[in-house]
Amino acid sequence: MAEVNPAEVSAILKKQLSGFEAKASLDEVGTVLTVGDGIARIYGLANAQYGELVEFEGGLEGIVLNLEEDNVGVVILGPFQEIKEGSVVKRTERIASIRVGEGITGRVIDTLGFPIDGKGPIEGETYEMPLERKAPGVIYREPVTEPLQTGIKAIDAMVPVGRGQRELVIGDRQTGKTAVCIDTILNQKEFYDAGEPVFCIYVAIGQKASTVAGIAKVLEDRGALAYTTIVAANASDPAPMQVYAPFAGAAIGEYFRDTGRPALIVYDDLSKQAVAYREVSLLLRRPPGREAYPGDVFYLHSRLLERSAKIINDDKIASEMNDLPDSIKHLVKGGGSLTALPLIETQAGDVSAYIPTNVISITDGQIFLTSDLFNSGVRPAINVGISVSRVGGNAQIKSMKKVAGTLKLDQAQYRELEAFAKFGSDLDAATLNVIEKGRRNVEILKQAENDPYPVEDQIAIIFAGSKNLLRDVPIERIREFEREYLEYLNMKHRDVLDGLKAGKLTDEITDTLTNVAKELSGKYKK
Amino acid sequence: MKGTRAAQRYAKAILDLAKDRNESDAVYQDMESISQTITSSEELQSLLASPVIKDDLKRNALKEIFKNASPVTLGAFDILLENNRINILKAVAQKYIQQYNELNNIQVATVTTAIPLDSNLEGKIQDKIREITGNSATIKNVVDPSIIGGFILRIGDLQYNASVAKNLNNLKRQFSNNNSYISKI
Repeated sequence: MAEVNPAEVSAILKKQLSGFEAKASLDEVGTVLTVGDGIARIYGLANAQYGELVEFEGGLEGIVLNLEEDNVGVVILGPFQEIKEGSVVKRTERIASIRVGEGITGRVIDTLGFPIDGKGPIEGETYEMPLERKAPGVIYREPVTEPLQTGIKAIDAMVPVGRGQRELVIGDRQTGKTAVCIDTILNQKEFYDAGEPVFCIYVAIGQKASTVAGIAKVLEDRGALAYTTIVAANASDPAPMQVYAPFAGAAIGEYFRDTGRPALIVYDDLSKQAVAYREVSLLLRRPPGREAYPGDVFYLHSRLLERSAKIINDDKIASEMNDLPDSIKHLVKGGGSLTALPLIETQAGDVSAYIPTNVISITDGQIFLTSDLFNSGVRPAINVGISVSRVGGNAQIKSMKKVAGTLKLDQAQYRELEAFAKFGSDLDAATLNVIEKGRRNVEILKQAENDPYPVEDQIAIIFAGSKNLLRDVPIERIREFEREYLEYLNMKHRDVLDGLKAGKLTDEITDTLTNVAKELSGKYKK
Repeated sequence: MKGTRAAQRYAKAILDLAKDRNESDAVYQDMESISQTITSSEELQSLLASPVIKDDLKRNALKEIFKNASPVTLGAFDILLENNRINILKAVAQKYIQQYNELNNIQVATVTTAIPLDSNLEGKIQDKIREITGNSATIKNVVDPSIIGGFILRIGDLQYNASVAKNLNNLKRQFSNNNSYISKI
């Protein structure tokens, strides 16, 4: 710690003391009957409302989750060891909320919005955003039309994500789910540098603190922390903190969404949140249902994911949005969006388990990661056959849509014929052609971790693949070709790439791309 | 609280019967003494809670201890024993007191102070109670030196906290919030 100047200390204390007013207050109170495992039952608090924040002696807070005939069930947000039987609980007449402001980017915070990165308090003006808030109604929304560039070739080409969409990332452990999401956050740097940032929120639920620290480090090193907020409820935090962490993240996202800016939120992962919610529910003695999850676990996820939306691009209508918190009413603008990437971890590829089916049905599509692909070296291990995006197609830029239009079909054909590949030369030319093209496309779609591609580069290389311009390049040298091809285009034909980025795919552009690809692939010919 | 709901129902039945027989005041006295006796005597608590001790023994003990009780109260012992509910006797007594107070519009205010109240202060607190609830109340004084000064007034679910300890605590919290110079509470 830096040396402390005694004068400074007394100045701070004086400042704090001057604002202090000794006052008595009239409160509605109750008494703790039992406390344990993060749950307290309170006698009294006759007028407490569902979801209300209550305050224990010593300043600890809790949320009312059960209203019963003779007691109130409260989940405690924080270390509950200091609460004793018989201690007094106060109503606060507030609902749980966190303070959000521009200063929240670049910070690591806990569920209640307190910084846990040791960089001092959140700077700048902050606004109170409720954790639980109703999703915007139909008239305040717009269809998804703008793309959210993930920087991952396989996703942007075949399962495109639009701003305001909810795209599930699902797969077994160790298949690269988090990596896909972190890459997506890293790819937003381009927009941050261009002055139109997509604000990112990474919600870590029930993870190791060391993992979260590692992710913060990656983001910081790559300059992505400047527009990212990390909400962490680590494995050692009480279950209620883990349950509410995604809601805290959504509240931050809503702040950006409702002030007319795009935001991206990653929930890593919702299966752990569901487990934490199950723990809380069972302790509150709610009846268990399938897999011992409570009956409202579907509602838990649907109300959370429904808050992702594309808000109508009309300030007047947007300012009348339902359930706007008073604190940001004067800041509301239209045209904002909140895109969600929820993660679900499956057990041995079983997507028909309870939580995966629930979340699949809520979201607008899913990105499927499989360990087979991962182990055979296809990374990111996206299984494009079963990955879908229900609304993202409208959000693709035109040039990408044209180029990648046939890619998904080609790959489906390839997978069908793949089994025959081992017969080698016995196959007819047409089949062989499909197989060879498919193999090259698989190679093209491979990508290293933390290496997102700008969209124009993606279009250029996928164009070369889908037009079968790489047939002369041996499979093991595709990566090499790709690097050279993109470097060449960036150096000599920047105008072509800019055209692609703007969504144009004129004959002139396709000719240039074809010529360059042909010229370079000649070099690789055996 | 264990068996609160059952206690509520027993208490209601006892009160109804006592009202019919015009004995509700007498039963109120009984219940007060039952509540106090059980609270102060650990032996009696464990006797009532023990599943090993025979009902007859419990009955005799209760009738011996509360031999001046009204017939309604004695009947209540019998019915509780018969239904295997004698362990909630204290809760029944407390619920009876609560329901009796509600019925007769009696408010009980608990005032916690650092030193015992004198009549002058009691008057001032009575004024405060009238200001908060619009009615007067019987004052029950609890002395607790740990609140240092001031008073805590509790009427049902309402609490008016004007203690020095609370203000000191608030001050401490304000200082320790985001202040690396003072360790967290």
